[in-house]
Amino acid sequence: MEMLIQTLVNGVMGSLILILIASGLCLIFGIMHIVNFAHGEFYMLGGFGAWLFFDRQLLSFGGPPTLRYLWAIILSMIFVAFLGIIVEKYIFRRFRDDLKATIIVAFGIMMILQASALVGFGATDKAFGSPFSGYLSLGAIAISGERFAAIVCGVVIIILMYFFILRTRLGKAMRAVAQDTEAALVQGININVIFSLCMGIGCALAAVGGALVGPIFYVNAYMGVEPIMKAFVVVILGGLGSLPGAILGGFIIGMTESFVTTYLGSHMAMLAVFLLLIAILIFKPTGFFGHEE
Amino acid sequence: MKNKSFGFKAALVALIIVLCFLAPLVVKDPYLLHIAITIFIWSVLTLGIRTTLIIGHLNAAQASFMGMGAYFSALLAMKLKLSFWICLPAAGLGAALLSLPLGYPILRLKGAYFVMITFAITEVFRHIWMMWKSLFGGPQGLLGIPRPGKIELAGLTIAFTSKVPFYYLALILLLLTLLIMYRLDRSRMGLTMRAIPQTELLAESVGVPVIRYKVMAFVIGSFFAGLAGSFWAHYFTYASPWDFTWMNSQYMLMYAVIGGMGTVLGPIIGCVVMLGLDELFRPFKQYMPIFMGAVLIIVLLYVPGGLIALPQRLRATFSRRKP
Amino acid sequence: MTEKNGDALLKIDGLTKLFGGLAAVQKFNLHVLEGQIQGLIGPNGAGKTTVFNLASGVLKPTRGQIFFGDHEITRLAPNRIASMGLVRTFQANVLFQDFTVMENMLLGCHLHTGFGFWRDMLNGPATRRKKAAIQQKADEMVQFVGLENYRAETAKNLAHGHQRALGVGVALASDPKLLMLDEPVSGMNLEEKESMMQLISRIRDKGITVLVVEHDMKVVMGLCDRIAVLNFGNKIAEGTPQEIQDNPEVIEAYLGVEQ
Repeated sequence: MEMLIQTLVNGVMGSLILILIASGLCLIFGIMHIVNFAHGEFYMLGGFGAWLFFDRQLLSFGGPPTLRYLWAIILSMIFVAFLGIIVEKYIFRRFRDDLKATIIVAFGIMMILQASALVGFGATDKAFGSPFSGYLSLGAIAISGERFAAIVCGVVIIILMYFFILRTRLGKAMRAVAQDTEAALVQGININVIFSLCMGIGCALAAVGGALVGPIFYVNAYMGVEPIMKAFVVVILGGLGSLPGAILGGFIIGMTESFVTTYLGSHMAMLAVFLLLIAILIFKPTGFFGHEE
Repeated sequence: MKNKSFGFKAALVALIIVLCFLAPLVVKDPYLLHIAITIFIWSVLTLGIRTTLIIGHLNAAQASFMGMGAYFSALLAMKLKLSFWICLPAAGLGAALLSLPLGYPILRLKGAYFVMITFAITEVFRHIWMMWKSLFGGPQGLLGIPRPGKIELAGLTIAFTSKVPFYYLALILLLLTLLIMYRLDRSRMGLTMRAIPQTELLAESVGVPVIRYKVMAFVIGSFFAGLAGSFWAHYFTYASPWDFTWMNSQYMLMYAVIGGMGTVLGPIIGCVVMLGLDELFRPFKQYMPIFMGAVLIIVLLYVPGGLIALPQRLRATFSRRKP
Repeated sequence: MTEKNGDALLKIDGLTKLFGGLAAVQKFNLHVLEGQIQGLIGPNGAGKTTVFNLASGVLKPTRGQIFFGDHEITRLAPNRIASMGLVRTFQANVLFQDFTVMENMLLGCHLHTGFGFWRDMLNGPATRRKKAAIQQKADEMVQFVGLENYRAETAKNLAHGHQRALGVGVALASDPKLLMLDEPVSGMNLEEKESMMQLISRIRDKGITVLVVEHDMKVVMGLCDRIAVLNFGNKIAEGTPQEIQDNPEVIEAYLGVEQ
């Protein structure tokens, strides 16, 4: 029984993190048609950012750990978003019409970012000091503060993101660009600004994911490799370019992974996830809510 | 027809091949021979991935087919006690035969979807190899794979106890691959394959069964991956899932793109340059992926035909400067 | 001018194509007679290119059947339909843009290949003879469409009119029985249009049946033996050029659009 609840909690948490990463991917693909294989590295850098700003106390202003942690997450988001914007503006944008080149370039950027992290931070796992003292009790299960925070933050950010996309003018502009870039141009929307904004938000979302996961496990240069693979499965399951799809897909994959890992082991879990991806791609490549190209 | 430059290029290539054959007589350091062997085999793999690249697809499963060839060959040798000389072609054929039924459903997919499904296939196989300890040895892989047995050739007995026979074997495999890829490029089939990524619509319209041609390219690429895998397994005498990840396929793609997809020499140049630099800068190996990623992006931005097209582009740039 | 009515080579019966709720083509019937030049006209968006896409296998119909000769081709793949002798061109300049004119034409001759993968690779004397014959045929076709001075030119560098001519040539290279031309003179100046009209006549003289979609009325009236008119996916008239010109419904459909 306890194992079930623990698995459920892990599943929810894992799903939310996946949704954060996948939403970023989804935005970037839906609006800019970039298949960003380097996205996992922004997640990883988000984790390192949080570590630097919280654990190593870079740019820290003191205060209670929880507040410092929040501040670290925000700083991390800003830095990673900024990095993403630069990468998009000076590299991805040059390959805008060539899908294959974009994919290869993304691989290259992934290599650069991963190796830079290795060089900069070393190969050992970095442990996080705990930003929370105390546990939340759920019957016989104790949910650590970090996990609870991850769930809460995840939900809050996803709701905020939805609000932004659906209600604000900028969000509407982004949706316009996603639907028809030329029509949006004609309406006076500055495509380049939208692209930068989109990349920034997408990378920030990934960074938050990494920052939230950091204290729960650890950070290292390779932490982005597996999440990005799962995030792609989520995005395809949900439909490339569909945010509701990313949420639905995120929960399906997150819960599946959690349950299969608990009862059959992590290899079986990944096997299940990838077989699912293969099945979707063969039978319904557009996923739940995707559009035909 | 630039017949003069073709003759020059052909002579140059012939010269390099002769030098490669003579090299072990002069170069005795086994480490250098090992580097050469690595370059030869990676060139085979990269040439294989180029075939799929020509029809317009990024094949993330090439390293996985290499793994299939490696495991298949190793198991044939270890469980059925078959000679390496049967295992080698069997591995190539095995990989090719496996890629055939896989090819049809996956090659219907476009661009990014194809990358992802080959990615997924690679991961599925990797996890199977990791989990199935009794057959594939799990995370450590198969150990103690037998080296190729002695062969009698023109009165000489060749034993695979030093790097030298492996060097020649790798070189011959590469030349075989090169020959076949060259003929493919010049054949009608090659022309038709190159037509497909330009417009599938027109290709279908003139009667080309596009999916069949795509599968052929995929199968050919996988065949050579299987061969390379077999060599790899019997050369290193172990086969581990860590050598057959999608990152490895990514490297092959990178070398192909950096060297240049347009001709058969491109991928080889890519391997020689990148693997050579990798060796040269061994003390700085943590920086290598950064360097490689940067080279990739620079080549894509400024020399789209790859390094092999560099002389042409330089000539074009300089001739424009003349008043 | 008008050949004696041959048999119907292409029979389209009750063809309907729905996109969601929208009917692009509705219960369309057309019999194209052998040896004739059949025109298909209508205002923009009437469904003409959809008919082409359905007949050539690019799209599958929602309802209806298409027969070519004695065979039903309704749901066949485009390359199968092409191999049966029904070939089409495209409204846009669909060419192998990075290939030369000769290479494009060689691809057009794909159906004549006559040798498989192994023979192609081994390249024995018999295969080489076949390849030389195909090269010859491609060359003849290049000359037939008037591009002999541009053999080595890359397709994307050709002038628009030459690209259209190449498109027709590539389609012709497979020796079709029926050639479907989708707006062959679009974007052309007067001289290029003249050239194309002559080319189409030469095609008909070779015994090839032609189905042509066009907006330019002079071209249509000048070339076609029979014309069918589409409007909002429905056939509203069919007959000789004279009958069509005098048909009030046709005139109304075009609302006085002069060419």
